[in-house]
Amino acid sequence: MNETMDRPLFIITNLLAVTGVIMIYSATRNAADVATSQYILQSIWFGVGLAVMYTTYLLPLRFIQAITVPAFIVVIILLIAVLATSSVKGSSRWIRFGAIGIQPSELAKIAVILVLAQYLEQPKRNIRKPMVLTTACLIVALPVALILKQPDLGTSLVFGAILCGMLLWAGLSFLELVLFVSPVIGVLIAVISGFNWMVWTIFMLSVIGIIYYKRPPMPLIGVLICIHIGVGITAEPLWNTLHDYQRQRVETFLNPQADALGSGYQIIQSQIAIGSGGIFGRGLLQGSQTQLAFLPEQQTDFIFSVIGEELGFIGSLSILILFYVLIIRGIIIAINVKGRFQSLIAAGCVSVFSFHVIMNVGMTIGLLPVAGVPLPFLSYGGSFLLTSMILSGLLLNAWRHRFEY
Amino acid sequence: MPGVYSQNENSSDRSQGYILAGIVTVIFLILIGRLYYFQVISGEVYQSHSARNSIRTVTLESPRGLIMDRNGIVLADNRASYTISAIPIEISATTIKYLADLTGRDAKDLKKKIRDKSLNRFKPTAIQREASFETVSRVEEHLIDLPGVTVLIEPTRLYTQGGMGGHVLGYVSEANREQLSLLKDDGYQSGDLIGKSGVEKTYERFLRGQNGLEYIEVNAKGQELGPFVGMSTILPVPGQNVYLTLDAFVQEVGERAIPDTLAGALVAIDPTNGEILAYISKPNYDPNLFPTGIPTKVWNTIIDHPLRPLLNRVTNGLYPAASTMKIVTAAAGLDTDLIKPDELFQPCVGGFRLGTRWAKCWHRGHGALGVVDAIVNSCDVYFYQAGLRIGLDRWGQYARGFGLGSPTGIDTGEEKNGLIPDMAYYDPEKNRGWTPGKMLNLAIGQGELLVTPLQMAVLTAAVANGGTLYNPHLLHEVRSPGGDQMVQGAESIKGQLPIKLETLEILREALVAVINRGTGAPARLGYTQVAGKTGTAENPHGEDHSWFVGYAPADNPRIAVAAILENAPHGMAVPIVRKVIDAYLSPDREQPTISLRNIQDNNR
Repeated sequence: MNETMDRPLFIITNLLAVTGVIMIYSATRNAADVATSQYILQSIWFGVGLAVMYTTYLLPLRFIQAITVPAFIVVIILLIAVLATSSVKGSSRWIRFGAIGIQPSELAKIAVILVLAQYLEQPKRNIRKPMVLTTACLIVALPVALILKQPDLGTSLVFGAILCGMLLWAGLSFLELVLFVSPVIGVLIAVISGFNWMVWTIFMLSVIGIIYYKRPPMPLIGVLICIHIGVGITAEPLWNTLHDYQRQRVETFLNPQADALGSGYQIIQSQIAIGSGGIFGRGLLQGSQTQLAFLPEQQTDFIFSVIGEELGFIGSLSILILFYVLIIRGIIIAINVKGRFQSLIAAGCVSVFSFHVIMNVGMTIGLLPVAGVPLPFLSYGGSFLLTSMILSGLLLNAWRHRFEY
Repeated sequence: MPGVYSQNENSSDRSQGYILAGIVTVIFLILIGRLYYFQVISGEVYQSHSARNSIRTVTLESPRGLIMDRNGIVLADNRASYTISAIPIEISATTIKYLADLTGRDAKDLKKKIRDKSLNRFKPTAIQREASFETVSRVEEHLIDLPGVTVLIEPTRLYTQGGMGGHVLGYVSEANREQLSLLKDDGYQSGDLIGKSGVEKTYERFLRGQNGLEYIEVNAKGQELGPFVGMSTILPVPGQNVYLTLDAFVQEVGERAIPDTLAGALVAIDPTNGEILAYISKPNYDPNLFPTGIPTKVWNTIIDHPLRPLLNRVTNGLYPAASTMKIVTAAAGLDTDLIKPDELFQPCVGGFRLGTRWAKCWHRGHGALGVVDAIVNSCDVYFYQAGLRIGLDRWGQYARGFGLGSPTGIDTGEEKNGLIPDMAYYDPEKNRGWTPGKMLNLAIGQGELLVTPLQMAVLTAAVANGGTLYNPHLLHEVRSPGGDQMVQGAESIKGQLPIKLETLEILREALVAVINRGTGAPARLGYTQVAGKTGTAENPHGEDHSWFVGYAPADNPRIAVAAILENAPHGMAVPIVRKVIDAYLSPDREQPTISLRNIQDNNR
């Protein structure tokens, strides 16, 4: 138990990233219009990521604690810079440093985890106090608001997962978490049901039921009730002030089948690709769906369908098992490290990985809506690969400092 | 339920962690179960259902918008082009043999082409473009026995009038790699036609339609079963129709009037608004060669042609303006009062002495002339003297004020600036120092002076319309396939001639006199008064070039023309311009009517 390096985690990270490079090669080798081969770029990012991951692993605990707030501020500035530079020409998520493009929204995931961990670490911050909850929400809301403006809904949702995961880890129980996110659920229910008062009333009754059962502190009940009543009253008028295209966007997100030519097409193609892979797959570079590039941008969000087609059930199962072990290792680290700060960081990393893997795989096999959430380590994209490897590095770091406070 | 943690004890995290791990486990089991269902249980269903990419997407090419003249006569149309393609991975050796039989091709050749290693084996590869109708019907008839073979019908460009207006219409061809990567976001795909020059290039944004998409279900043998249920076809949207200001009749008369053996250019402009009525560059080429890929042999004959058919002489042909420049020299002199309208200059005795140089006139001797007679007789000696009085700076100022030496601002294509030299140009360090003798040459439009035919047409139009330099334009209007007007071509003004009204009056009087009792006599028309000026450009490399610029009717001009014929005898351009003016103004001309049916048929 005195090993400083968590070998399984380290090995899984590398295995996944190398698989990613291979699958990206397979998915893009027929794309004539790509200037520099994407698998080469991904390999370079992997090399850089490896170095950064190892550096992160070696960082002293005090150093990490010292840079949380500065890192957060830098990320916020970068996010504002993205908005400022993109306002000229359509939406953009990139900021360029010479030849390298970086997505600050990816780095924001790390910064938010660090800042939240530092904020929630202190014992005086009782998670059940409305002030503490509100502050935690605001920390997340700031980057989310900037990212939503880009607009990038998929990435924004990840922050919801980070917040939920870390609040849970900071001591909120599952039912309390449900209460906590109930206003959001309320809005979704209202929109989906077409502002049917009956449906909303039933939902409110169940919320009240949970409150009665859990009996949270009075101030919290007050805040919750106020938020719910506020949301209930303002949801419909606010919805009606949205532009048609904005409403359309939300509706497409909630019901992608309605947009059959866009994301619906991708889902069908993705399912055919995965299904035709069978048990053993069609072999590397042999998948007709992949090689014909039926899926637009299959090397990014739909890389899992490439794996499914070319490597079959064996391949996709192996990948899922690798992810499962990664996440479980993360949870074990979160449980076993002594310091609350490291533990919270580990919980944040686990949240990001779990959310990304479940959303992405769920999307490719038609269980969840298409939200533009890439698969960690495997999807093409330097910023996200780097971020994922830094998150692995943070997990490794937490394990290394598991006896420190 | 976890309580408040002690600072160094995470044991109460354990229950939360176990619950979390449990949830993750359940979700992963669901994901794996779903994968198992897809890949193992219904794997075979999917494999047979989609063994060979059960959905094939077929691009439905949209027809390009038509290009028409101002009266609706179609200049650029669409026609069907048949392409026989094969998907390498799906086509078997026997099928290749069979296909070779049907298309009358060598089986070995065909096999080599289809089995080429550099191909994407999953994508249709064109094996015969522009297949004849007979071949296509034979293949279509046996398509069921030809798994992996497809026949594509695509619209391609047809320039209905052959080479007519080739330089103004430009041409389309398949977008190249560079353009594809640049225009990827605009939906251009490999094989798409794109305007490469002329109107086709400038108004690409109107002419180009939007391609549609059809989802076709294909069975395990690669045979097409029909549209894929559940994916609706996206219909192609045809491009918009562009109406040009050109008058096809005038254009045709002009093109016929210039012999095929000669190189030259002719531009006709409506002086009241800058609309281009005829735009001719000779020799021309057939733009129909380009959309389907030009054979190397044909390309080489075009490239090696001594008269360079690809050169657009209207905007990119550079010539000395010759005697037509005397309009500008006279204007500069009169407007600055350096020439008095009725002042007689030193008599022309067939030449003029400047220092040791004897500068000749084209004629034996004109005697003493005033400005009008000097223009009528195109007397060089008179303009030598005028040039010396005016001087390079002032002369250049006026020449530039007449629109020379700068782009005309035409809406299509690139154009040359030409050259109006100034003092800085005559830099001794570049071996071309200034001497007063050079002013003699410039004053009569020779020497280091270059203009394009289009610049001369715009200049002539400005003299005709009372002094307004219009930006010449070709766009009359853009209409949707349904006939709704989308865009209207608008006149725009580049500037005014920098001269007084009296100066202009004298010039116009002189240009009328040129036709009635001078060098422009062959341009005379019985029913209307023509005005104009001839010119003969000295060509150090061979025969001279023949210029004529003119407009009519003189009192209310409706057409202004500039024409140049390379290596042609003096005055040869004059009757050609006369024919063009006649074609436009003739009272006997039948008014062409728009054939709406014709247009709609073409839009199918």
